[in-house]
Amino acid sequence: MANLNDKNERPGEADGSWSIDLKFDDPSPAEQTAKKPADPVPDDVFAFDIPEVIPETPAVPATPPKKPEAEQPATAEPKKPEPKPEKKSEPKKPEPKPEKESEPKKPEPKPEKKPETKAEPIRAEEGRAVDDFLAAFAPVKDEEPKPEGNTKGGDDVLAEISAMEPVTDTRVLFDTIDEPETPAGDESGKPAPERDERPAKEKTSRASSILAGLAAKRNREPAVVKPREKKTVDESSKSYLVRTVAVLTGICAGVALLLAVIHGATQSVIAQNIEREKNEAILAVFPEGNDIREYTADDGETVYVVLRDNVIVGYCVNAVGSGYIGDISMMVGLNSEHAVNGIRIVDIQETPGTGTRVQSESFLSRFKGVRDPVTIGENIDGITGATFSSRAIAQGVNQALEVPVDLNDAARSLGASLASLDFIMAQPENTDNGDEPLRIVDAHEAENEEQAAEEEPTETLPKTVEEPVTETTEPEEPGTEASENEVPAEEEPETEAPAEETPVEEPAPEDEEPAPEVETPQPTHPEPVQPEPEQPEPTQPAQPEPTQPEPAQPTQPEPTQTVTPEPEQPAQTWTPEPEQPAQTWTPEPEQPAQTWTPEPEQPAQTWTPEPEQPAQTWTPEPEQPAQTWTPEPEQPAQTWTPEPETPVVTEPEPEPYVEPEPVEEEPEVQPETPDVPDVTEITEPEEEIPGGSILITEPEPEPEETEAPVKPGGWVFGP
Amino acid sequence: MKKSISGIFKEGILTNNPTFVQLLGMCPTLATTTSVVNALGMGAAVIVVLAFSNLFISLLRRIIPKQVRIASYIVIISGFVTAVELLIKAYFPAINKALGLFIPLIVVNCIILARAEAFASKNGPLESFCDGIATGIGFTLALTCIAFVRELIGTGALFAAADGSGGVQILGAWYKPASIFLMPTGAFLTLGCLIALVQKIQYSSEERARRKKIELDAIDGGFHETLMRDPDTGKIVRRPAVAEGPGPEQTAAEEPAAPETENTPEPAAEQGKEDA
Repeated sequence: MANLNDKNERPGEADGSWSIDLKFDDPSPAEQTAKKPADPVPDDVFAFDIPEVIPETPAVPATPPKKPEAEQPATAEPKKPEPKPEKKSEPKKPEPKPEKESEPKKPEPKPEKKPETKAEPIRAEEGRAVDDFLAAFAPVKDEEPKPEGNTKGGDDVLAEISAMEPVTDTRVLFDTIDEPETPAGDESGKPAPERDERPAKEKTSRASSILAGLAAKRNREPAVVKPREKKTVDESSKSYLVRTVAVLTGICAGVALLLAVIHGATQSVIAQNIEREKNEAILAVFPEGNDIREYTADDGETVYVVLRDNVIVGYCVNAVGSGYIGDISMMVGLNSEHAVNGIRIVDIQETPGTGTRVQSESFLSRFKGVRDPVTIGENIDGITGATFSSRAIAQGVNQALEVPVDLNDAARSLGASLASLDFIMAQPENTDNGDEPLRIVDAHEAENEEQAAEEEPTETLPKTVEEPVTETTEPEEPGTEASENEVPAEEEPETEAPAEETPVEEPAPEDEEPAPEVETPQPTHPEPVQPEPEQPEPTQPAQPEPTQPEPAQPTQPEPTQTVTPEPEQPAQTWTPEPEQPAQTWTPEPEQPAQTWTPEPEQPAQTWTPEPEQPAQTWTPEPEQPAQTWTPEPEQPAQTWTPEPETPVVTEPEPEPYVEPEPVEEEPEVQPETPDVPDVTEITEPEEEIPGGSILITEPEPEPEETEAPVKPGGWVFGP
Repeated sequence: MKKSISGIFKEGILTNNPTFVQLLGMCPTLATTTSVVNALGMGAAVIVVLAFSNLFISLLRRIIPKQVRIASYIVIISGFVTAVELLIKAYFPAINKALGLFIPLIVVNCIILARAEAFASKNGPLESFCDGIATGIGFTLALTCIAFVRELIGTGALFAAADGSGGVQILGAWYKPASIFLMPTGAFLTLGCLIALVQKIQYSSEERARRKKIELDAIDGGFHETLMRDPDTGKIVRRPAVAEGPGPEQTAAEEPAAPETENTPEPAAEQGKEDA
């Protein structure tokens, strides 16, 4: 009802109320018209009507006596006194009226009741109680024009109905009718005395009793209002304050209890969901993995090492990049070479249709093989319209790349073995593609400076290769792959030293399945162990070599920077070597002669890109010297091999050009080397490496004199 | 003041719909209506929170001091929102992922606090509980309508899962999805059009009801003498001027009519007699 009424009042009711009032007003004397001009404003003015009515009441007493006397002798003279009591009662009204909102309606009905009373003669036939009241009430204010008012009212109403606006009028009529019916039963205790007083004054007339009922009703309402006001509690009292605190505390405690119960019930389920979601993301990156273990990186970040049959396949880092709308959470998978293997978006809230396109495999695959921090627009193309989202992915990848994870240490702590041939074999293409540019850069450096030691081996490689060729040896064939190049260096020593034999064995166990080599396969574990003893023997007369050489990067630098680092980096270089030789091995034994021919061809191909991207790759290198180390030896082998084989090729020529550049940089860096412990560390490993080569006996003098100093510079420059 | 249960439901769902009529809670309305499933999930969460917060606020309405009532309401509401969030995380992780932050943001949804302040704090527990459910259903219906339009136009499919998979392809391959409807712009466009439509429907229905009421009032309210309902058209017309009173006049008019009808056969009979 409330809604309807409110809305009815809005539109055109103004006209309706207007017109009806006018009808009634027309017959009524000037006094009443004077009151109603205020009405032109429709129902909204209801509130304003109140004050208007209030003045009326005092005015009414003045008018009625005049009217009945002069105009209406027929109604009944005895009733004339009645209006007076009304006057008395009415003046009381104004007091309560301002207090209540409901009252405004009641004052209005009065003026309207008057018009209704005009209709009395006709209605009397219907015999309603309402009519009785009206009849009694009529003489007070009735006037001659009544009949006219009825007819006019009917016409007007008809016109209004046709115009669809008389709502308010009809409602007002209803209200007026309803009121008289109720008053009899509505009397309450308080109003009673007042009502009693009035009848005492004018006990006789029937209208007086009805009016008394009205008065009682009016009086009763204010009485109702008062108790509402009284309900308010004394807010200043201490008890009220205490109660407030107590209620708030109680509510909070109850809510806390509810949450505790629900939290306890859902905690385990939520944890399972999160765990499952995480595992799904990891396995999406490393589908071959069948075991996931947590490992705390050196910087305290938790990474997830993926194992397959207790062999480390790679690890995942949960990285976050800030996108256009919110953070993009992703699981970045890095393989055992610290190159990106895959990315899985865990949580993304980017704009649907544009930002979410970064989830597409076509975009994420662009990061495969990345080893060094990337920048959208330089190293990798972003997605049009999703610039921020693309950057967020790159940010996450860089974040993951920066996490220092030593897989050797991880393998030791987790009781697993490193390097899985299966994994590397599974994705040779990706690694090659991604690594090529980076490794090429490394190759330059190596060529120029450090890897002279390795180059020497590489140089020897051709020698060894020639020899091994007969043996179906390994190094050069792998030369196609950057990583393989490292192997030859190692393998060469292998031929010479007993330790070398062990590495040969190492690949064998890995290759057990695919490659039936002369050497029988042995457990994969010996691989990491073997390189360690190898290095210590030649390179490090000093300390921790056997125990810490490979994994020790984090731990060693702290205690003894100068001595310990040496074993570390060589260890790094070593560790990848055994792994990769395995790769190279498998193809080699099978088709040594065949592979030979392609080798010279491919290195030439690879060479061309190398000179192009040395500058770019240079910057990233310094960040991850350990990583770069491994590739360096690899590619020099590539570069070298072609040279001897195909001296005619012009490509190798650019190499020397490229070399001088790094050489220039090197001297700059060299001053740094003494300052930084790392540099010293790096320098030492160089010496060590030559030491390793010393076993080979060929390279020793060369690297030490010329290149050994150069290497540290170049490497130091990086960090 | 007490309202019937049916009246509460009608008001909460239709006449006083929180989204289309009151225009409350626009933020989640615009943000979570990218798919029908999301809208339903959000609506369900709001229904639960609204119903139980209304229930408890109504139970505590006489205990909570007036000065701290808003704080109390917020505490109660946030408690239920957190509970719902935990349950969704545990059993509907996909929806939680899709709705994200908007589940916890239900705490500050205007609808919840509005119903607590305007209804639950003044009515009994049963009415308040029903009001919460009704308002929640109204909110859910509004969200679903918006999401229906947006998802259909934006993707050409409907009922895709919260993670974007699945869905029933409604429009054929010829249709090129207008992805703008999945973006905030489309949300505003859709919301504006739907509000206009609802307002039009509601206004016309109200107008009809109002006219009927006016007519009834006109007859019952004291104009029987001059007005009457035309028995043929049902409209209010002016009573034909007759010296006699209206009541007897009608009866008189009808009574003579009957004999007239009776008369018609008579002539036939007479004719028959004559023929005979």
